[in-house]
Amino acid sequence: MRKKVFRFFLNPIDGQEKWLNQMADRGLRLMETSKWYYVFEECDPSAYQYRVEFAADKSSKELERYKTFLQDLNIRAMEKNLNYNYSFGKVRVRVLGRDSITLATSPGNINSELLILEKRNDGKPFDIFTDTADLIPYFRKIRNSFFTAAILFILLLFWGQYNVPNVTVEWILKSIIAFLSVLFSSITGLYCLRIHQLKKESKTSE
Amino acid sequence: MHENKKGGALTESTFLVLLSVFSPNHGYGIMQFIEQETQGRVVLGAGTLYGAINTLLEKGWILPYGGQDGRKKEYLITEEGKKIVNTELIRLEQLYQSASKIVKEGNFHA
Repeated sequence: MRKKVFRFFLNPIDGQEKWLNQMADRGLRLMETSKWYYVFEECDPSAYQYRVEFAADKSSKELERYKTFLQDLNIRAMEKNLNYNYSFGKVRVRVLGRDSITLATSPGNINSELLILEKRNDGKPFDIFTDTADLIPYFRKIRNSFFTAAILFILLLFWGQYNVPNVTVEWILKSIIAFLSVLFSSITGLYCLRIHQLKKESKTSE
Repeated sequence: MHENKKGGALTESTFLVLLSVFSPNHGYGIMQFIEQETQGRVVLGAGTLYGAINTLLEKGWILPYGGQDGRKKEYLITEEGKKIVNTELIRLEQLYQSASKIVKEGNFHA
C-alpha cells in the first residue's frame, strides 16, 4: 500500500534525514521522491536506514559514477533537489549550488543537489564519511553554500528592488527573504560549530 | 587522505584499503576485508571509501582490475603501492618496538 506525503524542510539535510529515519522506524520505506512529495511503501519497522548527502558540486557524470559505486555496497541512492530554487524574471537563480549565484548552465547540477541514501538495516553503523579528514572539507562545502545563500538574501533584503504592484506584497516578500536570511545564517552557524569541533578532535586523532 | 609530510605515515584508512587489494577486490569486498581484519573496529563510510579508492587510483598505488562490464568494479595494488605498504610496515614495526620497550620499562618501575 503506497502512501504519498507532502513535506518541506527548513534544514534539508539533517531535518530530512531525521524524518526519513523516523518514517523507516515506523515501517515506511521511501520508494520514490519528486520535488514536493515522497512516496512510501509499508515494510518491516526499522528495516531500512537513511542518510542525506550534499552533492551539489558533483556533475551528472560524477553522480552516476558515485551511484554505481554505492550500488556495489548495497546502497540505493535517490537524487533530490534542494528546495531553494527561485526564478527571478528570466534569470534562473540557483541557490546553494557550487557557487551561490549561478546560471543554469554552470557545472555541478540542478535539482540533484542532494542524494538520499538507503541501506537495509544490518545493525552496523551507516555513515557516509568516517574520517575527520573527509568530514571537514565536506562540512565546509555545505557551510559555504549556505553562507553565500545567506549573504545573497541579506543583500536582497536591504538593496533589492521590488517591482511589485503594492506595498503589502513587497512587505510579504521582504518577510520571506528576511526569514530565509535568518534560516541560512543559522544553518551556516551550525556547520561552523561542527567544523570547529572536528578540527579540535583532529589534533589528536584521525 | 593525507600523508604526514614530516613522518611519511599513512592514514589508517589508506593503509587498510591498500592491504585489501593485494588480491583483486571490489568495493564491498574491501569493506568486508577491513571490517574482518580490524574485528569490526573500522567500518569505512561509503563516501570515505569512494574518496580513498579515487585517491589511490590517482596516485597510481592501485589500478582497476579486469575489464568486465559486470557491476562489481575491481581493483588491484600496483608495485608502487606495494613499496608504500612495505615502507609503512617498517615504520610501524619500529614504532611498535619503541613503544613496547618504553611501556614495559614503565610497568617495571611502577
